[in-house]
Amino acid sequence: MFRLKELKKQQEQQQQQKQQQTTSQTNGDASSTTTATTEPTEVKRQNSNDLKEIRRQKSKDSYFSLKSKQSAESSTARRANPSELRAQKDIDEMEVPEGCKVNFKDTNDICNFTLDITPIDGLYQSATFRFSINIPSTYPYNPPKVHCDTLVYHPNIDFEGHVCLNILRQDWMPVLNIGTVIFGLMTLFLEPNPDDPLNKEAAALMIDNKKQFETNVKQSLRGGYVVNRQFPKLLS
Amino acid sequence: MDTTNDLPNRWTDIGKMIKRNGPFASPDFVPDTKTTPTIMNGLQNDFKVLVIGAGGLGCEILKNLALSGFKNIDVIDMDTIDVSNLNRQFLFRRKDVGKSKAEVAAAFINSRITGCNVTPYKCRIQDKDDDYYRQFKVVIAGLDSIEARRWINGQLVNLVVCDDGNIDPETVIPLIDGGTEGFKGQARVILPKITSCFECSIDAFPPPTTYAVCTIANTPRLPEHCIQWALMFGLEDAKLPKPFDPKQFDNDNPLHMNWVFETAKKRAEDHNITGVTYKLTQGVSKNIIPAIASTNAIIAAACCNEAFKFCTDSSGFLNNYMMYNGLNGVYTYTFEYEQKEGCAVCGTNVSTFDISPSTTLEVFMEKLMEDPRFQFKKPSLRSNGRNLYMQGTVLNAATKPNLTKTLQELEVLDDDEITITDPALPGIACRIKVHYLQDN
Repeated sequence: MFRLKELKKQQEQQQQQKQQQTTSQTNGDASSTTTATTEPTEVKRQNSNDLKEIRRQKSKDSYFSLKSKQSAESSTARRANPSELRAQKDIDEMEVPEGCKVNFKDTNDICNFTLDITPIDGLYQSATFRFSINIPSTYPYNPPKVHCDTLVYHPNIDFEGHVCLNILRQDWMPVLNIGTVIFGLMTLFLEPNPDDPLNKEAAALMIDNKKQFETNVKQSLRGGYVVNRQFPKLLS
Repeated sequence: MDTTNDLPNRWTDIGKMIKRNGPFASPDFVPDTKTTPTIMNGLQNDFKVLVIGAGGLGCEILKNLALSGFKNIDVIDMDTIDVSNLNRQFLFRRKDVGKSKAEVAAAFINSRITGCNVTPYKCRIQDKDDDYYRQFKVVIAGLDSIEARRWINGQLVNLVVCDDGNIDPETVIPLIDGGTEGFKGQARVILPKITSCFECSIDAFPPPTTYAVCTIANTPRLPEHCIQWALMFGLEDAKLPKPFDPKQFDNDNPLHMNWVFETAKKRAEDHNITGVTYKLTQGVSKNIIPAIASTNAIIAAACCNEAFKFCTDSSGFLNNYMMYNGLNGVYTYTFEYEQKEGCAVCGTNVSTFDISPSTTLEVFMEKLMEDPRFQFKKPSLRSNGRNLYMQGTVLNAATKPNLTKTLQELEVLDDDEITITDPALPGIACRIKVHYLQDN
């Protein structure tokens, strides 16, 4: 309960021991250290002002033994925040699934990158879709922000680039990571899920007339028109 | 002690706590006497307390502290007063709407409670530096955001000086964190580096309420879905006329909010959903947590009692987490939240590493891996927001050329912090401060 107190006591004892050692070495007599007892209230107030000074001094120089560097300067030197640390770990340790490529515009900015997914199977095989991924400062409490930059005819991605993937919203958990999100996005192309539609027409068609849906997907990937909208040519 | 303004017997009740010893007092608690009012002096002169947030909890906390004899209080809040605050944030009046919460709250306390000196700051907590935070005896937070809690927690942990695992107690500033949500609340005492910190428990926080994008887009059932739709799809839709630039959307602007409300209402009508109100629209878009004055009072009281006990040593303080649930009956539970091994914030000791600035990154890494303190296997290093070396396939090629460069060439300065992740580490990361040796 008073763990802080106990710590302080331990330290004081250690210091006293040290002091005793040094005084006995230099003086052989400890009487010079005992000063006349002034008014106790003053002593206490003096002490707690000293504490502030000790705090300043200790954090500032004695421990890291800096000579010239001021705290103002060191506070401009960026300290990585927890979200960045987590992103560093995620990115360094993730296994990028086959068909996925992570690109950094600025390799130092690990919180913003793009992801190119080229499905190796399924309806969308061999076409490449680009996603922008942003790791927010609240990560991993909040999930990464994902936007699909390639116009695609897909039940779970709308024409504005919104992506409906459960782990990006309602099913996100801090134990998940960037790798899981990439895996989830890849899965969307391997197995589109018409039960959670964002592109309602595409989803309805996938349920009612799978053949026609597949034809539409092929057409869109070849740069054709589907439902009066032209898609970018991703396959020849 | 300046007692000229004090009413006679003003602090009688506080005196009962600090002038008498008790079974739960700290072992070295020395009761105040007439000639040696040490603790009272502390409360009135030396102990500086920081209150973060001057909202529902903040108003209560400021009032409680001032009435418990604390005289030097700083308050930080970047928000302005909204009319909807007035039902529970009792330091504010109708004429104050639009003014700074911190400033109005400080002025109210200072004028109402003689001798109390509350200093307001209308800014973000991130705007203050280490020296600013170092001056406080204790920090009480009455915040509504995880982000701000995370920041102040990290800041106070970073102020702790820790030499080879020996914590310097003088640098430990307790963080007393209160939080409420409707009838539920929690108060906890965090002794940075000694007890579990906010980051230790971040995985256990209930995730924010979110709805599937597809539900919002296609199958709305709740008024919240319609409001989310207006915020997500309506704002982006160029075909929907708006009386403002959607890129400049501001959820504090009544004109903008009214547009969101009308758009959400229209969508609700189209889907036969009822219940979209202006208030709910505000709640959803600002992620407002329902607040109940009495829950705030309970939690703020618990926080202030902890601050008082910590500062006066008059009794033992909370170890370390108290949750309160007034939703079904009344239930409180106190337990010790344990420190998380390898916590990204408090579980990582910053170790110093002596090295010459002309060492190449490759040699530096070899030395790190030889150092028995760390037990690294495949370390990846970053410093000052830049990659030094990343082992993973994604960034390995980009950082490999750095191996032959010296630390100096990589712009690593003396005393800079290097964050290291490694699959072999139990926690998230490890931090090392480089200390440059002079070349001979």
